Amino acid sequence: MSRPVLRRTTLVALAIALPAAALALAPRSSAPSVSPIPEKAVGTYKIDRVHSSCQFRVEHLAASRFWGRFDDVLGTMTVSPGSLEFDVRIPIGSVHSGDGKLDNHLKGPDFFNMKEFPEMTFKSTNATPVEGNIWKVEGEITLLGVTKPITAMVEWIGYSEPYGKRLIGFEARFTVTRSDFGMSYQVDEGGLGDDVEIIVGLEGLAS
Amino acid sequence: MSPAEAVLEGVLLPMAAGLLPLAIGMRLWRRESPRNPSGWGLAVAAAITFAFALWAQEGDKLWELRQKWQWLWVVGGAAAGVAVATSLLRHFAPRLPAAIVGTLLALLCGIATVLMLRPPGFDETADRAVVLLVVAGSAWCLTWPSVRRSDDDDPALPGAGWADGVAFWLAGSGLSGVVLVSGFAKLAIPLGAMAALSMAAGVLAIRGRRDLGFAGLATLSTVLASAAIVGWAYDLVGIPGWSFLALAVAPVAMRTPLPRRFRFRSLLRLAIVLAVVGVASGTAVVESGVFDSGDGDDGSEYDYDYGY
Repeated sequence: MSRPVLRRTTLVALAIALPAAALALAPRSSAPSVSPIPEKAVGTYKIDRVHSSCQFRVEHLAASRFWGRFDDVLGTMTVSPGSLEFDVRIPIGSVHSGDGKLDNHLKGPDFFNMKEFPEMTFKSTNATPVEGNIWKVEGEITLLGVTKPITAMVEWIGYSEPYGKRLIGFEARFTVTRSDFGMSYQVDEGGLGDDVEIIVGLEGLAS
Repeated sequence: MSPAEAVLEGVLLPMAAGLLPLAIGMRLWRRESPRNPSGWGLAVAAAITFAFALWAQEGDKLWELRQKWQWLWVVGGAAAGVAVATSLLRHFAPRLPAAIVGTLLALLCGIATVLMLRPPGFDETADRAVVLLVVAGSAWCLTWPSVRRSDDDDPALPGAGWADGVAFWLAGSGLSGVVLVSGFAKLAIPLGAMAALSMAAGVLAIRGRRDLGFAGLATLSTVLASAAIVGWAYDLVGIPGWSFLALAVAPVAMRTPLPRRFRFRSLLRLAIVLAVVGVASGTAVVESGVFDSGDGDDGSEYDYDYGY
C-alpha cells in the first residue's frame, strides 16, 4: 500500500474508532432504568390463592435451613400509576411442612398460636420503584398480635390478559426476626434461628 | 443448649428460686413442725417458681401479657396472694369458723382464675363455670382438712405433707408430659419445675412430719388446675378434655376417706393418684398419636421430635 493510501485508511479508522470509544467510555446516566408497569395493568386484583404461596426458611440446629410454606395467601393488590398497594392475609391453619405433627406444633402456642391469632397480615404503606422490575415496598406485618414495620423487595413478574382475564404477578422477599413478635421458642437454646427469610409469590386476578 | 442445660435452666433453677421462702415458711431450722402451719412459704415458693420458669421460656416478653396463656403466672401470684392473706386472717382472727375461711380461700382462688385467665374457647358462661368449679372445687377439697385442723386445741396432728408433695409431683409431671405431646413445650417445662418444687416440699416435710398447709396446697392446686385448663384450650392433637381435667384434680384423691384400720392410708391414696395420673396420661399419649410414624406426605417413616 502506498503512503498516501495508508495515511487515508488510518485517518478513516480513527474517525470511526474514536467516537465509538468516546461513547463507550462516556459516564452512564445515574438514574436507574425502571420498567414501568403498563397503564392497562392499573386496577385492583384479588390474590389467587391457588397460584400464590408463601414460603419461609429458618436455620435448624445450626446444621441446615428448614423450609416450610403457607398454602393459602389471600387479599388484594392495587396497581396505580407509579404506585403499588398490598393487603395480604395468610391463615395460619394453612401452614404446611410435610409432617402432620410438625404442622400441629407450628400452629400451637410455641410458634404461631393459631387459636389466638388465626391470621398474619401485611399491609403496605409505601412503594417506590428501585430498578428494573424491582420495587421497595414498605409496610406493616402483624404476627402474634404484634405489628412491626418491614421493607420488602418486590419484583413485578408480569402482566397478561389470557382468555379475557387480567392477571398480574409479583414476588416479594424479606426477613423477619421472629423474637420481635414474641416467637422465641428455641432461639436462646440455638435450636432454631431467630431470622426467618420469607418469599411470597403473588398472582392476582383483576376484580 | 444441651438437654442437661435445658433441665437446669428450665426446671432446677426455678425450683431453687422457691426453696428459700419454702424453708422459711416451714421453719426448717426447728426440729418440730409449727403447730398449725398455714403453708404461706409454699404458696410464695409456688408463685415464684412458676413465674421464674415461665420467664425462663419466654424472656421479658412474658410481662407484656400479649398471649392469653401468659396470664398463668399472674394467676399463680394472685392465688399465692389470696392464700397468704387467708393465712394472716386465720392468724389474727382465729375464732373465724374454719368453714368460712376454707370456702373463702377456695372461692377467691377460683374467682381470680376466672377473671384473669381467658383461654381461647372458654368464653361462654358455662365454660367459665367449669373453670370456677374445677379450680375452687379442688382447692377446697385439698385445703379443708388443713383449715379445719387449725380449730383444734390438740397438738399438731401428724401431717402427711410428704404424701401431698408426692401427689402434686405425680400430677404435675403427668400434666407436663401431656402438655408436651400436645405441642406446648413452653408450658410443659414450667410444669416440670412446679412438680420438682412439690417433690422438694414433700421431702422437706418429712422432717418433723410437717403439713404443707392450706395456703401452700391452695396455690399448688390453683396453678395445676389453671395449667390443665390452658393445656386443654390450646390442644390441637385431639387429647380428650377429661385427661386434662383428671390430671387437674388428681391430688384430691389424697383426701379419700379411708377407714382408720388401714395402716398405710397415705400410700393407698398415693396409689389412687398414680392410677388416675397413669390412665389420664396414657390415654393422652395414645390419642395424640405421638408414637405414630409414617406421617410424611410420601408415606415415609420418620419421627418428629417435639423438642425442636
